[in-house]
Amino acid sequence: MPDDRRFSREEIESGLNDLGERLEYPPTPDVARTVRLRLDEERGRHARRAWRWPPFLAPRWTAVAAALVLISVFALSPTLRSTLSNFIAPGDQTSSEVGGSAARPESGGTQDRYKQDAGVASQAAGASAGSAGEGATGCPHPALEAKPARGAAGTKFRLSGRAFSSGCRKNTPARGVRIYFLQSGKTWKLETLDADRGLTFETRLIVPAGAKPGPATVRATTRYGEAVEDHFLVLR
Amino acid sequence: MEEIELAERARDGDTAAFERLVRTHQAVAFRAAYLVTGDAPEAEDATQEAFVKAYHALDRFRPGSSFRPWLLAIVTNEARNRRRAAGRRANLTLRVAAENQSVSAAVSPEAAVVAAERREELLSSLGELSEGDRLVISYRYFLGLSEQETATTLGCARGTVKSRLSRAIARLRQAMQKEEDA
Repeated sequence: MPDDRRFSREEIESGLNDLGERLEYPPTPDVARTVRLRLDEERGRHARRAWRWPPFLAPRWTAVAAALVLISVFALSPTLRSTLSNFIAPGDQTSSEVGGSAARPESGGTQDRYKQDAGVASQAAGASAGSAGEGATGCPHPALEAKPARGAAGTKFRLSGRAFSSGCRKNTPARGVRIYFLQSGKTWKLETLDADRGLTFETRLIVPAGAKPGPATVRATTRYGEAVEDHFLVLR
Repeated sequence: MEEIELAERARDGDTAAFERLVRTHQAVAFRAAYLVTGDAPEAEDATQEAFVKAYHALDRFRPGSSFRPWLLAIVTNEARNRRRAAGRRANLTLRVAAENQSVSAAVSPEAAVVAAERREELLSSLGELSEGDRLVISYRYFLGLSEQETATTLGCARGTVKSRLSRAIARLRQAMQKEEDA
């Protein structure tokens, strides 16, 4: 059969249609659920951001104003000062005299109370640090750390992650966590990895050869679209 | 529920309606992204990101027009940007699926072998074309888009798709003849 007939446009079109029906693609991933989760999460974030205190009612200014009012009332009211002094050091009647308590050193009882308060505060801080990997929703909140967080292009650095779970399932390690290196609109995909049973991972990566000196970002993206970042400084 | 109704509900913030739209179109969207990136994980990322962008751009979707090409335009842009950002060249990574025995039972073994060779030849010649030529052919014949849908997806006029397709097929023909001569 002559070439020009064999490769007529009609025949090529028919061949392409036939080929189209027989092509093998990778299996289609189910992104529908992930997309919805991402959108719902975004909406929740926007809703939280949308509700703001009026500037003069912002919590910290309200707290400052309340503190000022209390200090003023305390300074201006001898009776209140006296009552408070009695409350703090009930046994020491002389210190409850007008103006006596303001300059008075703290009694042992008061110091003990402060110590107790400090103890409670440090316990709370400890508890908070212990649950640092868990967000307000009770879902693990992943964290990422590059060490050293600086290096020249082509050098190695260590990247560790923790609290990488599969969605909100605290006992299921995240799979297919994608690690990207971002700088000035450029993105390098460095690795795809799975978290271990402790929901952590650690890997050694190389600063992309094309990275320029300056700030960059290392990002880990889970299959649920959650992205965690750490800063990186590319050196000369 | 009609696609347009789903799109309208999604525009009003109904993410469940949008999830249904995603489920309907995720296969063609992933294939379109794969045709551009040639890499499955990259295509998955591009597809997911494109759907999120599409949700935020639903205000720009004209009611009454077809959702699929509008969506595929976003998918194609996202996939192209990701491939460029990754600094990779667009390569054709498609393969022809293994012949189904029950289908091929109707034709003689010799004819089946010739047809399979022809398909491989066509695919190999397609790989030699430029990205633009390959995309217009792939979207039209592999994804089964109409000329108008291909035009919307690639962001050009229907007439432009016709002429691009014609030139792309002419170049494909040349590539096949060259391969045949070799």
